[in-house]
Amino acid sequence: MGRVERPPSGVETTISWMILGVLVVIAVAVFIKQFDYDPVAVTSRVPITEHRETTALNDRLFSNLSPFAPENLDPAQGAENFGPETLADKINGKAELYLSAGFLGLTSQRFALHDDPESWMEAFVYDMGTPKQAFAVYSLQQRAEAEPSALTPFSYRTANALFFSHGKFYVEVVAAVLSEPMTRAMASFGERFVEKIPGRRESIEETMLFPREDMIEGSIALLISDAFGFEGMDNIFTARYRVQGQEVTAFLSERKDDREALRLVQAYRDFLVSNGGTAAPEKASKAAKVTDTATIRIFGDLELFFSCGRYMAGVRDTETLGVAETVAQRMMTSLKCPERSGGPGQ
Amino acid sequence: MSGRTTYPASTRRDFLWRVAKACASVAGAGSLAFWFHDRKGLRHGRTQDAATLPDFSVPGTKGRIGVVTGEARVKTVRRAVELLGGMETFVRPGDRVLIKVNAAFATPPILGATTHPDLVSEVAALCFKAGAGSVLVADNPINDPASCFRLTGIGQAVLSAGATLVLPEKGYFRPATVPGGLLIRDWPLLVGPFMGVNKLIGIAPVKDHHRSGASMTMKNWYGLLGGRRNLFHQDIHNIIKELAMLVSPTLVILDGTVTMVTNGPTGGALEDLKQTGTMIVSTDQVAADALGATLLGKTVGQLPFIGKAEAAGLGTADYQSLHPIHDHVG
Repeated sequence: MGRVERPPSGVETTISWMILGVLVVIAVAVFIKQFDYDPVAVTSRVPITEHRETTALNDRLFSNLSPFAPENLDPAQGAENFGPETLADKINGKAELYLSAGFLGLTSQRFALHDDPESWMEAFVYDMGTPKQAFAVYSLQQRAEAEPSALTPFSYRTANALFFSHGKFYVEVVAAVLSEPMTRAMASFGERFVEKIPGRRESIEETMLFPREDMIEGSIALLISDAFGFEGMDNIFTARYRVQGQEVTAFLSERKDDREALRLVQAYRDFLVSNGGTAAPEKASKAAKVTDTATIRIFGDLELFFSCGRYMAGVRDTETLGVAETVAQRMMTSLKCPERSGGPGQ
Repeated sequence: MSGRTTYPASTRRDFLWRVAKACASVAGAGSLAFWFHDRKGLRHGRTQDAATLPDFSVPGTKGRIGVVTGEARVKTVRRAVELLGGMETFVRPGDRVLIKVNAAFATPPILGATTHPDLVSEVAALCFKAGAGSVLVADNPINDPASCFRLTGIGQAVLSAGATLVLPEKGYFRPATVPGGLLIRDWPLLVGPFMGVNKLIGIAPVKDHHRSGASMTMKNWYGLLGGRRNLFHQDIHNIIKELAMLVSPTLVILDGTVTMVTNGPTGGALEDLKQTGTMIVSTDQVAADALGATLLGKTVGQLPFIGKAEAAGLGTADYQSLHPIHDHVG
């Protein structure tokens, strides 16, 4: 009589079907996925640099910008949100400007006039993390022919747009048409934003330290990192002046303490010298009588810089020592630099 | 006695037989997987599947460049094409022409960030007048494609001209490799619109660009890339060079009627624009860009991608050596 094998039990059969089912699912997933490959993961030779950790879009501040729109503006689309990884999907090559300044998130939305849907505008609200970082991107894009606005301490209007920083936000409102109703609508949007969103209205302290004499209106800017090509120069405020017919740049930065300010002066001096700069052969500048200065001539231009308490400051972009000294001395007066106490100079 | 069947207990032989069958199944599955596995992988390319673009240049038209000044871009482009021999020199009856525009952003024409719709209409009309059988217009915008083509006015211009707008669809992309290139290797390329095309015209505005310094005719081909192409911004000058290696157009049109001189590539304020009133049409995209740089107040040295493209033999940065033909349209 032939041997009769025990048939599989119910449990064994169930487990078998489950395993087969999982294998089928895997096979189907592989089949689908192989039509949708990511060349970046497999072939890219360009290093993928790490950005700051993306703020979860679920934590975005604005689900839409309608609360800031006046009554005569209707949403023309839903709000779009972008983080550090996707910002370039909206503003392409300009993304790096924001990313290097601490960008966290962007909410943008288009609105159209209720009475004229063809007249539309788009609002861009950038969360830059801090008021200084918002000021940085505001200042670096400021248009020379812009008309100052009273909306916030840092705001201006152009023929078709409104730009301002408020608290940690940098905001652009750009119109597709030139019309009085649209201009009023943009202004109203800005006013509502400032009214509803908390933010300090006072100016940034460093911007008040630049002497006003001969300053070019609206020229104050903030370089968050790698100012003047030097990795150690971060959080550098700059302002442009026109003195004796020449344009010159003044700069200053508040450091942690006096020692750090002096260290930065020395490091920047070494950087310039290592890149071809030489100590200026002119006699010791008048500015040096007030405080230690370094005066370096590089590629034909002068750089005169110094430490003053916890500030590192200076002047650049001029060929003339006299012009550099004039502005430097005004900076020293404004910063209330102490009398020279000796130590490393040129 | 109950009706249940009892079965003998498994023996060692049963156990070993079952283990052997299981091992054979695993070995068989593993062998099958090994046979399917592509050991070379995408890194080394699959040339039989890789897309390539043909050379769209017209023999005998190398090194031509026309420069027409004037405020009306419709008139200046028409005249500039005439200076190069007329569109019939480049487009033959029955040709299928693809116009690659810059529709990157969902912004209105007044901001100068995209190809002007009037230019699209006029160039399409010139192609039809030369006998083109069909004219297609395409781009792979950075923002939502439908919004971009609508808000830039390009979509309506295409319809009005009787041309065909080709929106980028997922199935239109195939991996492409630039021979000798280091960046564009098995990278998704928008090839769908090129089906049956035998002439290619690129139309781009002159713009400042935060990363590359300028966005002109060679950078315009960026809109043919798919995938996470923003990655290439980290090596922007080389990617522009490789794009110029990838694409040999019939003609490039560089619109310097209004130039975005600052805050590019998006701009935003009318104050970012400068009336430069210049239309450049050329069969040499390197020369066109070199000339376009002057409208931005920049030198070729400030735009490394131009020198790289020239060094790669794709054209000449010395546009004067091509003896540009100048004219003015009032």
